[in-house]
This record gives sequence, C-alpha cells and structure tokens, in this order.
Amino acid sequence: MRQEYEGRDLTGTVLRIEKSSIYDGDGLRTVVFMKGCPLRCKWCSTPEGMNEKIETTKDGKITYGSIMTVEEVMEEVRKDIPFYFHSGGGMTVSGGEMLFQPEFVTALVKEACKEGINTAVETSFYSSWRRIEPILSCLNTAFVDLKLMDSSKHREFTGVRNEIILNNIKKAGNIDLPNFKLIIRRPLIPGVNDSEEELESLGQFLEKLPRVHHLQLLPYHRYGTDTYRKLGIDYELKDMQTPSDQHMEWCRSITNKYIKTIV
Amino acid sequence: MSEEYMNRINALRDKYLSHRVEMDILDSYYVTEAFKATEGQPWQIQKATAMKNVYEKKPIYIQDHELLVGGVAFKPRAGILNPDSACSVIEKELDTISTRKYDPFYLSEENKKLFMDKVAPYWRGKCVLDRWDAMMPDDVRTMRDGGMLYVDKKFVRGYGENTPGWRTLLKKGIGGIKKEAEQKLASLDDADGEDVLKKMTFYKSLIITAEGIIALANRHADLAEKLAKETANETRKAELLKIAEVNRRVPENPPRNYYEALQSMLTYEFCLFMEQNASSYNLGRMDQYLIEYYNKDIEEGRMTKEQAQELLDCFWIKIAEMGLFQDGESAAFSAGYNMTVQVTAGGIDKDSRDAVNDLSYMTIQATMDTALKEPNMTVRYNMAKNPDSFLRKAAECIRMGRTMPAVYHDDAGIKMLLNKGVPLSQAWDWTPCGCVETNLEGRLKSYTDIGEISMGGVIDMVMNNGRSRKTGKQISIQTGDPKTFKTFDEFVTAVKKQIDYFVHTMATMNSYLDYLSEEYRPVAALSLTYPNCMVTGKDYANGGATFNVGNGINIIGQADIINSVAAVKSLIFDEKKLTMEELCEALDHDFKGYDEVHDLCMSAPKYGNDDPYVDKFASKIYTYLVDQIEAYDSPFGHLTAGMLPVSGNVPIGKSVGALPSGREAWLPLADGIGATGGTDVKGATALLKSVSNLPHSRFTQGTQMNLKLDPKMLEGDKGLNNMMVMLKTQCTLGVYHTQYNIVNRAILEDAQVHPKDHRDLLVRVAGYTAFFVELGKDIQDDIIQRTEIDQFG
Repeated sequence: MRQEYEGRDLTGTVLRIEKSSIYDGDGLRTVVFMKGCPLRCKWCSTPEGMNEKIETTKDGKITYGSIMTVEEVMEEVRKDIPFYFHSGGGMTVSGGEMLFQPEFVTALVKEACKEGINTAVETSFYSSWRRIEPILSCLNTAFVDLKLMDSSKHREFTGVRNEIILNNIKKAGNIDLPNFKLIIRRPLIPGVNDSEEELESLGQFLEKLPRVHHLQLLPYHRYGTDTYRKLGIDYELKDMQTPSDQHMEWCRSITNKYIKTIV
Repeated sequence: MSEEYMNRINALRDKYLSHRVEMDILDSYYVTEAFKATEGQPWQIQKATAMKNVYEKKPIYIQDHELLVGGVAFKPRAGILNPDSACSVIEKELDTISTRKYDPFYLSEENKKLFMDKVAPYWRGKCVLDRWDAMMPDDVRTMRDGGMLYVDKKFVRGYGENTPGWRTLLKKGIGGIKKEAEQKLASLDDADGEDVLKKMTFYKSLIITAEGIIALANRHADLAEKLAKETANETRKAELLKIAEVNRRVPENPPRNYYEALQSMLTYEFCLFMEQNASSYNLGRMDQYLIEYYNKDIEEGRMTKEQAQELLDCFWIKIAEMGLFQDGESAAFSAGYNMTVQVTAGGIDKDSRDAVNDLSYMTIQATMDTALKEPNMTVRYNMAKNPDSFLRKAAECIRMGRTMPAVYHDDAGIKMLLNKGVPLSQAWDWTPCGCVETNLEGRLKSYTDIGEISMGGVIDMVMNNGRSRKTGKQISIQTGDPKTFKTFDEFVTAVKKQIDYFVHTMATMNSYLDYLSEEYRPVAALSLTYPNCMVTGKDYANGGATFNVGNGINIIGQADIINSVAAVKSLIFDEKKLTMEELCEALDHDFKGYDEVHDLCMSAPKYGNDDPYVDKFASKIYTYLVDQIEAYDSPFGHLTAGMLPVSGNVPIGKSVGALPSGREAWLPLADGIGATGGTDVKGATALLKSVSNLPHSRFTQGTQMNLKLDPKMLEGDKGLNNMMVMLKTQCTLGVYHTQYNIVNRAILEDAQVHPKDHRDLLVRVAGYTAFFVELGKDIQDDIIQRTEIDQFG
C-alpha cells in the first residue's frame, strides 16, 4: 500500500547507501550518504561526496551519486528492519554534508522516526539553526564534527570559518529534547589539530554544554586517497601518517579532564 | 590454553597431523575372504559374515596418550574400501590414487599387489558400481557424460547420511540388542513361508554382526592389557588398564558412566563406517544423549568437569581420524577427505523447553580445543528458547576461525522434518546430518544426497536447445531455438521443460539406486540400533526404519539460474537493451569479442543484493523445481531436494558454457545458496535478505549458506554481538543455515605459496570444513575469490 507523508516525493542527490555499518551509531546501521558539502577539508576521506553534482571517474567506470526520492531511500532503509530489531540499529544520514539538502533530509528523518526507526546524522553543523532544529526534533543521535577551535586555521584547512559551527553546537548542547544524544567528534590530523593548546580549548568549550554526551577522537586515515586518484583530484596531505595509539591516548588524557572522551 | 588437560589433547593433535593419508586394503581383503567362504548364502548373511571377519581380524592399534580407542583401518587417517560397493574404483585409479589432485591416498606397492591378486578379481562385474554401469539407461548416461548431472556417487559408497540409534545403543548395549534378535529368531519357524524366512535371515545377520562388534571391543581390551604389562610408566599403565576395563564392558553392555558411554558410541561409529565406507554417520545430539551419565558422574564425584572435557576432546580427535575414501571424481565434488559427521548442540526437548545443558557448551569447547575439521560441529539455535550465553559461546568459536559451529535456525529444521512426514511429536528431536541435511536419531532412512543437478546446465540447455557446448552433441531435450522466443513466458516455459527433463533423468537413476541398494546393500550393523527394524524383521536398506523418506537430489548453481533468468527478463524483454539474437551470438562465442554484451549481462540485477526484481525468481524457480521433484514417488516416499553443493560447484561448472548471467564458460557455478562471487556488493545483511527468498523449509535436505568474514571485523564484545545479531536475524528471516569463514585473504594466499606453514588452516569448503592446503588449487582459488564482506567493525 502506498504510504503518504509530507515530502515523500522530494528528490535528493544521494552518494550511496551502505548497509550493516557499525561505525555510525548503535547497532547495525544503514547509512545514507548525501552528496554535496560546503567544506573542503584537506583530509576528507570521501572526496566523491564534496560536489553536489553527480560525477564520474576519469576512466568512466564509476559514477558517484544518483537522484532518489525520499520514498526510494525509505524503501532501501526498510529492507534492513530485521537487523535493526536485533541490534538496536537504524538509519544514519551522512555525507558529504547532509545539511546541504535540508528539506530532503528533514523529510527522510521525520518519516523514519514516524516508522519507529532509530535515526542518527553525521554533520559539521555548518548551516543555519533554522535548518538544523527541525531535524533534531525527531532525531536520536547527532554526531557533530568539530575540526578546529581556532577559526582562522579552520578556514585554512576546511575552507570556512567556524563561528557558525560553534554557535550551533552551543544551541544543540543546551537543547531540551529528552531522547536526543549529542556526540562531538574530532578527527585528529597530526600537526593540524592535535596540539595541547587546541585540545585544551576544545575541552573547555565542551565542558560548558550539558547536552554533550561525550567526545570521540578519531585517528586520521588515508583510505580515501584512492578515490582522489580516480577523480583526478590532488591530495595535499600526501605524507601524513596515521597517529599512533600512544598519541591518541595522550590526546584523550587532555580532553578527558573536561569531558568524557573515547578513542 | 592453560588447562592441564590440553597437554594430552595437544599431543594427540600433533600426532594426528603427522599421519600420512593412506589407503587400507586389508579391510576389503577380509570382506572378500568371507564372501568367498559363504558363497551361496543370502547376500545379507554374506555381508554380515564379511563384517564379522573384518571386526575379528583387522589390524588394531592404541596410540600413546589415548583414552578412547579404536579405528577403521590399519592406522589413523587411512581410507578403506567396500569392495562390494565399488571395487572397480581402485582398479581404475591404481596408478593415480597416490598423487591425484583431490584427496590423494598413498597406496603402497605391497597393498596394490594384495588388491589386484586377492580382492579385485572376485568383484569384477559384481560390485554395485559395476552393476550400475551395466544397467545404466542411455538417457542417464548421456546427461551424465555431458556433465549436466552427477549420478555415480551413491553407487560408490553406501548408506551413511543418517543418525544411528544412539539412545538404543546406550540403553541396551549391542549384547542386549543381540539377545532381542535371538529371541525373535527363536520365535519364528521357516515352515511359515518366504516372508518369515526373510525375517529369520535378517535376524541372523544382526546376530552375526553383533558378535563381530563385541569381539572387536574385546580385542582392544586385550591389546590394552598387553600394553599395560609392557609399560614402565605407572600413570600410563593405569590408563591402559582403564581402557581395557571400559572396552571389556562396552559396547556389549549399557555404559555405567560417561567414559563408557563415549567409548561405546565411538566403537559403534567405527563399526558403522567400516560397513559402508560412507560419510555422515552423525553423532546427533550428544549433549542430550550423554547428559545423564555426565550429571551422575559429576554429582557423585567420580569425574571433574576438566576430565569430562578431556574425554570429549579425545573423542573429537578419534572422529577426525576417519578419512573418507572416494573415487577421484566424487572427491572433486566434496574434497577434503570429509566425513561430515555432525554433532549438534542446543535446540529443544520433548516438552518444547530449552535443551541447552553443560555438554552443549562443552561440545563447542571441544571444537575450540581440538581445532580439527571433524566432527562437523553445529548448533540448533532455537531463538525463543535457547539462552544468549549459548549463542555467544557459538559466536566465540566461530570468531576463533574454527569455521564451526554452523548455526541452524531450529524452527526451519523442525519444519523440514514435518515436511518429510515426521509428526511434530518426534520432529522436535531432529538432527542435522552430513552437510546440512535433516535427520532423526534411530528412526529415519533415506539417502540424503544421491547426486547433483546443474542449474547452470539447465540454462545452458535452454540457450543451446539441448546441445552440449563442449561436444556439440544433443544431450538434453530440445526446447526450441531461443532466438524464436517472442515473450518472456516462452523463455520461462523452455526453462521449466528443461528442469522437468533434468528431474526426470535423476528420478530414473534413483529407481536403479533403490533397486541395487535393496538387493546388494544390507546394513545389519546400522539396523541394530533402529528399533523398528527389530520389530518388523526388516533391514534398514529394505525400509525397516520407522520413517522412510524418498532420496534427496542436490541442486547446484542457484545464483547462476536466478541471475540468468533475471538478465534475460531485464535486458531482452523489459528494457530491450539486447535482442535474443545478440545474446545467443555472444554466448556462442563465450563473450569473446562481445565485451559490450558481457558488460550488459554483468550489470543486470544480481541475486545477493536484496533486490526484489531478481530475488523473486529465487522463490519462483525453486518452488517450481521442488514441486517437480516431490512429484516423483519411490518405495520410500516421494523424492526430496536439498541445496548442499559441497565443492561440486567447481567440477560441474566445467561442462557449462557461457550464461546470460555474464558467467563465462567452464567457470565454477555459484557456491551454496549464496551469490555469485563478486556480484553481491551490499554486504552480509543484503545477502541474507536475498537468500531468505528461497523456499528453505521445502528443501528438506537442507539449504547451505556460506559467509566469509575477516577476523578483524569481529573484534571485541561489540564484534561478538554483531555475530549474534547476524545469527538471530538469520532466524527471523527463516534462513535455515549459515556458516562463517573467519579467515583473511592474505592468509589464504600465503597458504597457497607455503602450504607447509598452514597445515592446520581450516576453511569451510561448503557444508563441511577442510584443511585448506589439502584442497585442489582451483577450489582454493574459489574460496579466495568469494566476496569478502567488510562492513563489520
């Protein structure tokens, strides 16, 4: 039977839908990667998600992205309900930047929520609060990337300043929603955002926000470099190494003074 | 392992791994000797006397550190031959058996001579395999030679594929059963006609066989006493004297304790294997049969839990010592010397309550400890009744890379038994059998796997109008030139007609198999523990069991036919990207020079990705197929079906030309009920969803699902929980069986280059586990190539 709901036939550009992921929230999850991102992080591991347009690799073999309606995405998400049931999993909307297509994502998250599916998003919060707020109201978990506290450095490495992001995190960090969980993520890029000063500043900022559940530190990795090659994009951080376990632990010891931190 | 008992287990395991796989000729010599001496007697008496002769004369041995003893041949890991079944096999392979590609067996010059002089001459034209060759109808031979069907294996080796009556064995002992047969015999009068005479002959065969089994146990007791006298080591002397005491007692008498119960089962298992050289005399629900003995010994302080575990581990290694000899061609279909002797834990009891007990965990622990390919450890997971701690134990063992236990959705197994005609009042007690078949302890008879139908072959015959791509000869029926098909329905009609013919040809073979088995395959040793055989005076082979089930046909190449039908529908009739002429031309040339057509075929929807467009054909084709199979009757009931390709997907693919699915000519067909390697791109969850579209419970000989996972992906408590989620979702989806290969590609590739460094690397080949380095190169490649699912964290 055709299910009617608001925004059912809205279209969006979806990079891909991945199944049985365990990295993006509780349980086994179906991750909807949206295409397009306002940031240009130099370490981005999903360069094929940056551009909002559908694009093809240089050799023509792989096409990234397809136009889908909200309902078409829901059809894929519903297929995995038996796995959510046993694992406590659900749908995670990621990117690119999911806030790049706010109407589509709002409709998708609202419908999933209405159908009893656990929902999560992965975002940079680089958008206006009026676009974020309606999504949060029907969301279980938000993973928000906070890449740098130093705004000019933020601009140097991601292409944008961070004031909007910090403001949105502050608002979300004080929001009154009983079932909502806010988790801040910091991808640790050696020499860029892992100094003692930067981490102290991050900890102090988060300490004041009652709704932040915890901080998660993610080690830099190079899994995306192959995609850069395929798309013919230059990868600037060629010689960057994955941080050691000891270094990750040292970073954790700093922020953990202010906010529960996991690696 | 820090446990002290592991010293013994590791020593036994090292010894096991050091044994060369050899061929035993002596068993077949003693069989022949007795047949010659009883010439003119009924075949049943000849066979029983032959087995008694083997049990009384075969070389026996007791190895250092052993607590449980016995063996089927002159040494561990040696194959035996039943000359009455398939003497000519060795004659054909005399010079290649030591070096052949699949499952070589070393055969010494001395044994070659013994075989050629004393065994082979008697059986030429007389063994079951030779009789089959003489009788085989032309249509069966043509389809066999064309590689569309595999039909010979059950003429090579006989009944196995059952779960013997362990409860009867333990309750009565072989001596008690023999006494019943003697009473039955005494109550009959051969003046009362042929039917009574036949019963008397059967009871005599039971008595003769029972005498042989008891004699064999006493020979081991004698040997243990002799060794005890010879040893200066006081600890070992005591162990040997205990072995003597135990073997003097069982299996003749009911066991008094857990130790004796295990030895009783082991001796009987070996005797059964010697009778038919067949795979899958399943150990069934050992956790249920043995729990009373275990509890009593623990409660009364006669045994510690560690001692119980040690004995169980010893039992596991003894089971692994049996090695299945089969002909080279059969070995290619199920390589790895596999016996597929299943043990299962868990499930429910007669009151529909949770049946998990201490031994359920300890049987899994035995597989963790011994890390060998046998027994084939499995669990009946009843999601409603079994505790999570039990499932977690299974998940831990799987994660260790033991490839076991395989996990069965208990309700699906129960449904399969119901569909075999077993009432629910008994179906709760079902046991997994062999690869993934279903059975019932001491009550049910059938061959579960008489041969293979190639579903890739079905499509091949449709696309080439019944002619072989290899030889150009007409080998199947003509279903019309596909270029003339105007609608998808016409194509489907041709597919159905080919399926009908394939099934018809298998059913023809089955009639000959039933005839030859009834005439020339009495199994007195097995019949001893089937109480209904005693009641009716009929051998298992003649339908003496409580439930008789028509034999099982094994189906290979599920993804090949599903993807081919979907490709034709999508490319030719729905989206019209290709014409049938273009497709046929490309198939005629094995896609060589037709890259565009090949790309289109490969990009058509593929089974394994949770896509209803293609998955609906899994439901439709397989419901049609099983309807056709069940339409054929036999003296034991309608025929049955399973999907347990073992490694048969590799050799059977060698006769199949290019297919609309995009599979190129002569490559392996798809494995089990899984996707074609490399075409399932959405991960394990999507694959399971696709697989759930098959009508599992109607394939009562089981449906076999392999998944391969990298060990990294199951790390930590979260990883263990993920494994449990997969297994619970399997049950929610109604998928009967899954088994997991937890090995990574790098290890497998290294094992190909340095086999000696990876002697103990286990892989699930299909419905069973094998040492990777003992498999042929192309099967190794096939395992490596199976899609690795990398979406666990």
